[in-house]
Amino acid sequence: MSPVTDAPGTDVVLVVADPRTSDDVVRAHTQSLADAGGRVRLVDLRAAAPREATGRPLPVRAARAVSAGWLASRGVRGADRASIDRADLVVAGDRFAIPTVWRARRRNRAGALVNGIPAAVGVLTRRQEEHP
Amino acid sequence: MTAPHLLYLAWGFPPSRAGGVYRALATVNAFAAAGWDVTVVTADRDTFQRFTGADHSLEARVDPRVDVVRIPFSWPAQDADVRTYSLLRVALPPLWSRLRRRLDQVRFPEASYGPWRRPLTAAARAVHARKPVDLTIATANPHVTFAAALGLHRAAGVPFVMDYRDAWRLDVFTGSTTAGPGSRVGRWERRLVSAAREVWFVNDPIRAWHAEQYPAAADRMHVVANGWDPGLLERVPRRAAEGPVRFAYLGTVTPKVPLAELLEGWRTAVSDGRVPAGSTLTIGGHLGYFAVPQGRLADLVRESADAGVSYVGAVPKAEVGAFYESADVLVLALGSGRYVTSGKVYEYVAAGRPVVAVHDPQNATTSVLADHPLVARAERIDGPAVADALAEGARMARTVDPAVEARVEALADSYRRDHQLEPRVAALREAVGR
Repeated sequence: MSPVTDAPGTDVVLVVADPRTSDDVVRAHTQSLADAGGRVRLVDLRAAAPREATGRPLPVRAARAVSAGWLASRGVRGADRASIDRADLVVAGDRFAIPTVWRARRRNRAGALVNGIPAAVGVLTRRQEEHP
Repeated sequence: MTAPHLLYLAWGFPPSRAGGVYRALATVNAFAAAGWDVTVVTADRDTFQRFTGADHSLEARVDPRVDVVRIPFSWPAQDADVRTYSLLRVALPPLWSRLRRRLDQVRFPEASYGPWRRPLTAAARAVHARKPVDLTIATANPHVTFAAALGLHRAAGVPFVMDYRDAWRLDVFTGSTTAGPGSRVGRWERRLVSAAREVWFVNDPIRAWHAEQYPAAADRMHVVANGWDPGLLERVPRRAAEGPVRFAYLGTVTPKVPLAELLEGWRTAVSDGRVPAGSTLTIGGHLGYFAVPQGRLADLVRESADAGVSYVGAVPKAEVGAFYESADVLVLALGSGRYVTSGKVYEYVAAGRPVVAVHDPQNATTSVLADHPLVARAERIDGPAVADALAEGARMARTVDPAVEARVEALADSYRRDHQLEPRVAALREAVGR
């Protein structure tokens, strides 16, 4: 886990897990969330997820894609887990991150858990409107 | 004589910012102004805030005599709340999506919207039970609203109008048929059209296509063009541009809009000096169909920032007049297809600025601009042709001829939305006999 933005705001954890998600994309996502009023921390699980088996038959690729997300979610370490559990908003930044965010639903009962940056920005915007 | 009661069924209604909302708004206001009691059944506000984006300034535009009933709308496929996800959705998203689409279409053959048939029909019947309805107008898309109108027609004999706007079985961009006459959609459409009192379309090519499909109903089919709303747009005379020219595009930039070609043409015209140095192209409106800008379109615009292109985001309807006023030339870029029409073209005419038309000449919009004296048409949809049209637009911006301005004003007056709706409002009043 690395702190990304320190500005005051809503505590946001951005989870990325797809090895194909580039650093540029991660930076752009982080900036979008910060611009919307989030104090963003990144949980980067890209190294924990296996790369997709390109060239294999479709069922094999599909099975690998499914298992990649679950394998990545197992890579969450103590400090990362604590931040996810405490965050006001946990965001799946790519499709492989969804299992990690989904598994947080019991430990983090108060925060918003969302799929995708647009939805996360929407949550932050609404919070800013409600608590300017 | 008591006022007739109109029930208006629409998924998209203020505060939704989706394109068809202005037609819905104008229609209910026209009927209210003509002395009808109007009840609208639509989706709840949260639906638009979450999915389409909301323009709250639009709600104030609804005639205060109009009663708006809002019912919940669920859209699982667009739901980003991971807490609501099932294990199946998390573990096997493609399988979940496929099953979801099938489930959506159990009650009505329309993905995402099919499940709304039951609550919408129930709401329509509740309105009728509370106060008898004389006429229902259902507007698409989604087309599930038609099913609710048919339901009330069958249960209580209430006549209904189908306001298609575009089409259901016809892809207006490609001209191909998306569902055959024997398909489930085709069978539904035949039932609906044969039972409808009137069927409305936005342009004649679409009407003609449907008249060919359903000749028995051809005399009940009408074109109700979109027009522009005088209450939303104040016409401001233009001045001749000196020096840099301010070009502007306003409207939803869907992936069908030839944005890449427009920007390529812009770069060419600016770099070779045919568009004066320092000129700007301002793009307003949503990038993509939904509330959050679509990434590829946003990237294209960002990459052209060094050439004077800027994106100002969505423009609330209340500020549209000011947006046009700040432009010397308007750029109309549209997807291809002879059935494609544009709501914005009427506003462009009303704004009185020269128009650079970047669309297929076969496009239905071409006929709207046929008598416009200040149109620079791109001969083809590619960078060089667009550059030529932009250069011509810059030239038109340099002079103001009172006689030409008067022709533009007369054309604009003919395209007022209330003038488009008036014949239908009068005919339907006579038809319901109230």
